[in-house]
Amino acid sequence: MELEKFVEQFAGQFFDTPAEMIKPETEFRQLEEWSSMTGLCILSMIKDEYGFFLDPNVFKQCATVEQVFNVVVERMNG
Amino acid sequence: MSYNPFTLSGKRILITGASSGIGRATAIECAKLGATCVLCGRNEERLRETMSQLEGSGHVCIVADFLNTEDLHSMASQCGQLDGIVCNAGINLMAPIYFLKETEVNQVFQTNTFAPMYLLQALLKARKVNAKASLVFTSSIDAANPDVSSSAYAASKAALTSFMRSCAKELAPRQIRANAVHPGLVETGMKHNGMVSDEDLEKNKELYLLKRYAQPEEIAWAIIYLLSNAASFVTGSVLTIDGGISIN
Repeated sequence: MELEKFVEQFAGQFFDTPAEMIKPETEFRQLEEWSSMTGLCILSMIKDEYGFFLDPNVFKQCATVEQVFNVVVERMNG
Repeated sequence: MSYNPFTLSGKRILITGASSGIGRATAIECAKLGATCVLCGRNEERLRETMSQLEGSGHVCIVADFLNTEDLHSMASQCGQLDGIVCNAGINLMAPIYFLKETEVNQVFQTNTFAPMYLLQALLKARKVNAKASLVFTSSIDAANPDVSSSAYAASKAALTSFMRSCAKELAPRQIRANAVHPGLVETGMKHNGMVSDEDLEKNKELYLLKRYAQPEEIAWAIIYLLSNAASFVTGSVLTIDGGISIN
């Protein structure tokens, strides 16, 4: 699982935010477009791409894209 | 003091989805009020668990998949003459529109909408629905006011509520009544499919005027009202049981 690909998939859940604005260190909840709906789309993307529902309580603790990536990797390896 | 217009004594009630949640609570409460219950579902073990909690005697379990035509006919031949039918079995699907999948949407409609339609048709054709019987469909407040990510579920429940109204019209000549309950969120395993954080769930509860979700029994009691003679002039109606969220 690659961080670069994950960031791309993550950015795909935003419609108006340019993809280049989404980086591993981006604090995604600070983006103007962010809403709880975007959060649901990200959880759905993870389910589709990686085959599991990420616990929303864990997701809530993640501030950056890379932190989400890390918990997904941890879950995949666990 | 024996006066009780809500009694179900002498009534035979078929309940689908009786293995958990609202269906199980409905079966337990119906039995307490004197009904003989016919529990239907796919999982025999869980149906037996419900059965073990029922007061009284004469209750039966029928293991059947309502999407299987043979099972439907077999069930209709075993269930006896019915005074009430509670079409309660359902599944949830929480997915943004962008992520809907044909197989999942089909499954939701098959279970929530088509199965109760074909079940009722099979029972009517087999002449198992008594005159003056009561049909109750467990729909959802989402049928009228869909939440985000509930599009397929909400559409399936809206279709079910619409089907209920057709039942009320077509079956009225035999004094058969049809109604639906529209519950808000209930404390069962079905709420939000684990896609909402505990913090967001607590925030969501605050939208309810009563600041909590329903217990399954609180929906069951509304279903029982509609099954009973106390609702003898109620047909084609929707009873919303949502702790006030619809007016907030």
